[in-house]
Amino acid sequence: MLAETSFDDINTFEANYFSDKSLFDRLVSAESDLIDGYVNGRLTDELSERFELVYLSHPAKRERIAFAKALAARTAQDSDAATPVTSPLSLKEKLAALFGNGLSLVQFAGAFAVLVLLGAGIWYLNRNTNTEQAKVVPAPHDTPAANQAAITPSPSVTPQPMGSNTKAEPRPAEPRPSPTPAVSVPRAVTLALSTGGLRGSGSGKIPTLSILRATREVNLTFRIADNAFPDYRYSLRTAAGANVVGPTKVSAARSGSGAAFTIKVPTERLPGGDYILTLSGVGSDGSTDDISRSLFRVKKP
Amino acid sequence: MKQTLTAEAFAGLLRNLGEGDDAAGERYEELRHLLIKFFEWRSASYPEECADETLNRVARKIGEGVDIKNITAYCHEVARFVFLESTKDRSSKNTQLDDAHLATRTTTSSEDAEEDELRLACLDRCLKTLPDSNGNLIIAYYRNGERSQIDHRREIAERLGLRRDALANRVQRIRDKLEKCVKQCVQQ
Repeated sequence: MLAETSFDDINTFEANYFSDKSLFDRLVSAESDLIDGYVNGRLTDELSERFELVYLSHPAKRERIAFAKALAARTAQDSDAATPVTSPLSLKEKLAALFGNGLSLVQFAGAFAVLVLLGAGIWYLNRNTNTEQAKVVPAPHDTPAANQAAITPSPSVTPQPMGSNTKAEPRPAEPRPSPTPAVSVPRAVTLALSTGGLRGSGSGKIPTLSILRATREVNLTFRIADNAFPDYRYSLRTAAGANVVGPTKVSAARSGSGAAFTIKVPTERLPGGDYILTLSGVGSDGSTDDISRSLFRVKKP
Repeated sequence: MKQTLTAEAFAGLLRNLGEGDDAAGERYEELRHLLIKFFEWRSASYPEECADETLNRVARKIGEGVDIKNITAYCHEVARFVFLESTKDRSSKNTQLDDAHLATRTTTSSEDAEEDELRLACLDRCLKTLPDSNGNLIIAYYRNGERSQIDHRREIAERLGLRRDALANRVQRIRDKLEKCVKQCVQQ
């Protein structure tokens, strides 16, 4: 939807809720309901994935989720009787229940979806300008549409005293006829590891990968400075010692005097926790030498 | 980016917001809340600081004698610039704080569980600071499963003589206060 929405429309939408308090109040309530829906597992898979994209990436938003969990736990304690949870409501049904009057459902859903996806798009834009030691990037063939929605500032707007009658007229958001998501969750994500010891990255922090539900594969990439062996093997185990993959042969791509490796692991083999990836060189006589170990962490919702 | 705000400029802002200290103060808080949400929804790094910076700049303009007819719209324009500047500041500085905005956290599951317990204890403590009616209202509002919750809320609204959106707004204000209280409690 971001790709279909111009930056001017986003600004207009924001101007609308700045000038219309009741719209703003409903957006704030809708956001809380969305967070509660996520916490209680009542969002559809598609909406959960979009939600995670925006909300798990921002500390302030994660705090909101944590508060919502606490509130849900507290109200569950107070419930007199357990009420059976019926099939998850779609966002449409939830919004229809919450907003019987006022903006049409389609208009409101469109407006709020723009808001959520705006956050996703701006988050991607901001994140891509940062340099990180452990980079988590989507695989090239699965670049989310949000990355492609360039959000460029409108250069011609400067703050001027509002000397004339220029109150922004509230304009209902355009109804969106197609349910096709503009933001696609990557099917594969890549984590670039540093090699050497188990201290993780140079900053002392363990490279960590948050895997969303729809992601199917993790690509672990790393380099070694000295391509000294004819063959290489890798093994992946949990930090506790349980074997996950390998030892398995891995091909080295020459990179100057060194070598680069990419190891693909299905996400189903990586439940949350800490892992150690060991690279071994295999000599011509079949003997093996451990060359490097990389520690990383996986987090799943 | 940050500049200091004089008391006179701040007083000018309040005068622009409304007649009387109470009305102006309430309007100021509403405007600040609106700005914080604007920056949160744009995924700004520090929404509260950005909101304060926006208000500081608007107040300074008023103090300089600029006549602002529609202060809310003016705040929106200033906020857009503050947001753009904040993103440029982040990318050029590339400080350790940027790590806080990576998509991941590096806590263990036992640390998460401890924090959840602490948060629950803080929530109980914060609920006690509310008037009984508000505490009971928010618990009742969020009680029950999804289907009956909708009917449940309709009943609460009818009992209180409120429209459903008015009830939702009242509960949201209580929730916002609780969230702020819990956040401060957890950080202590």
